[in-house]
Amino acid sequence: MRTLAHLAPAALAAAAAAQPVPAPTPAAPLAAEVRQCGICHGRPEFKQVEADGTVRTLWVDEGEIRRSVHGKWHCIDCHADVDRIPHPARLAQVNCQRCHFPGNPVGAPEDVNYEGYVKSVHGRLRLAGNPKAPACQDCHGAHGVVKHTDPASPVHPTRVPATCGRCHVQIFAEYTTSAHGVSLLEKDNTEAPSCSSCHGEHGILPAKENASAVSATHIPETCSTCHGMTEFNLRYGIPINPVRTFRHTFHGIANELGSARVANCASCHTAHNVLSASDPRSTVNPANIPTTCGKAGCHPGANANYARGRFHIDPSSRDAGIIFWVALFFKILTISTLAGLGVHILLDLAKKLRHRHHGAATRD
Amino acid sequence: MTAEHRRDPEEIQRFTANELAQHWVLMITLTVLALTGLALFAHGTWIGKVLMAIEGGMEARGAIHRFFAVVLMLLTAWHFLYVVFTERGHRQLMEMLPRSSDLRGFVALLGYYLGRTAEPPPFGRFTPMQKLQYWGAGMGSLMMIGTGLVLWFHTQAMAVLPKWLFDVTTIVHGYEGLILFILLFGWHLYIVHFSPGNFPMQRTFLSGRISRQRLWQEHRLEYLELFGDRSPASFPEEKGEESP
Repeated sequence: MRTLAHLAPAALAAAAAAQPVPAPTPAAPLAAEVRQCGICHGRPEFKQVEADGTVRTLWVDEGEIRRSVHGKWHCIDCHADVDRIPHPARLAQVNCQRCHFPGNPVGAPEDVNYEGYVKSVHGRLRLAGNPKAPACQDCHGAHGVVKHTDPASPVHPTRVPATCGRCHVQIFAEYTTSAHGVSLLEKDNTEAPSCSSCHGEHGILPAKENASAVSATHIPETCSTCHGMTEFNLRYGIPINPVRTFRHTFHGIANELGSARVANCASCHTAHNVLSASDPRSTVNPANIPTTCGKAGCHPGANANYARGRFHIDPSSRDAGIIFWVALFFKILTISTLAGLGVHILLDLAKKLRHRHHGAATRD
Repeated sequence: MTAEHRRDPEEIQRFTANELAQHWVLMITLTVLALTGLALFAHGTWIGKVLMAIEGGMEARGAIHRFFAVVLMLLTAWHFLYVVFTERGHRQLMEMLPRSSDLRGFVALLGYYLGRTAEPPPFGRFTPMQKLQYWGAGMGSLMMIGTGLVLWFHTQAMAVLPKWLFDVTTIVHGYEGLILFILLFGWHLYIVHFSPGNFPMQRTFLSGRISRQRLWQEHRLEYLELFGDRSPASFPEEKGEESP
């Protein structure tokens, strides 16, 4: 078996450079060029044993490249640092910005997300030299890149969770059993959210950073993308508008004013393990409400009383039960007070003005 | 202004310094409580947003509201001790008790407004409207204190109350506060400041004094008790407070 293990591993090349470099143009006939690289890389048994003993295949499936969106391009168009054969053991990571920069002359889709990526938690770590942080090809695929609308793409909505789950293993496990995960992965309902629906795609920020779509103060807005629509909620058997009703609670008002201390959607419903309240595993199932409300720093000593009543109440809706009737009573009382006071003041005013006028006339 | 409003020898001292002080504390306390409460109650409107900004955000607003809630509780205790344990205070409370004559007097007043009678009905030391204000503010304050304590100590309260009762408490506290605000603020604004002849303000709440003329007009029964059936005009120095 032929290996390249004896070759000294080259230093890791820097990750994607921020400055785009001039794009290549198709040159020699593809078949001939692929044959050149294929002398080695066309053989399925072509492998390398890494320093830590793991085996890495160096085989490149030509068919995969041909079926990909990059089928017409040559190996060296992307692997531009290959200038002789055999080439050094470690090549630089392919820089997608070589072509996909805005205004590129080769007609590659202009990547307007690169700036977002650079500022994202992934981009920041990558550029800081962390080899585990994902670059473009880690999510989009390397040789087999297809459009994200293609179900074979690792960034197709139904495949995003598994793609993110390659690194975020624990969260992926939680998500797959959640209402969202079951709906998307088992029922193929693309209306259900994948990771990127909430976290964003290229510009993902850590939840503890305020600008993040999933930060404490942005969560309600992010959930309202779907759950802010009454029609959507009704379709999934959610009788109230959970975001609007939340906005009218003490939690909601404080949250809107920037308090990260009060409960947001995820505080009670969890971030990844969202389940219907009727599900006994749900954190908002009546049996689990005391534990959920009694979480550290919230309402110590929460007991079964916390579950005796409704949540997400709309006092102007009959569904709110006694709260609707009490609110209605007080609305009528408020209007009556206002009207009674107004009429009384007007009557008094009219009389005093008339009396004054009359009094002045008789005094003269 | 103070020079112009020197003590008029014709004015009668109607309220004591203690009573005026209670009124001042109540006035300031209820105003602050109403404004800090309204910031939350009307959070979706521009009024709520402006108030919230002025009051320094959610945490500061809550701190101010709770501080003045304590002041209101202390004032309530002060007032309770005053009307129960002082002779003067107890007499005021007795005068303030609602009677069936208040209802008749109020109906007669409406008759006067509508031109059925030429003269307004005679009222005693406290008119039916003043009694309504007093008992409204008093009972209202007690209710606001009770419901407010539930909201303040929600974690402890919810250990005893079911969640739905807590929600009802929230609704009651909000609307009750709004109604008290409308009743007290609206009526005082009119009767003390904008009612004809009173602008910029009727000064009894500052001095505790009232003119003989006004006492004759508005609290006839109290006047008769003090001066018999001698009309204010029969006092030689009378100058009439309502002269333009």
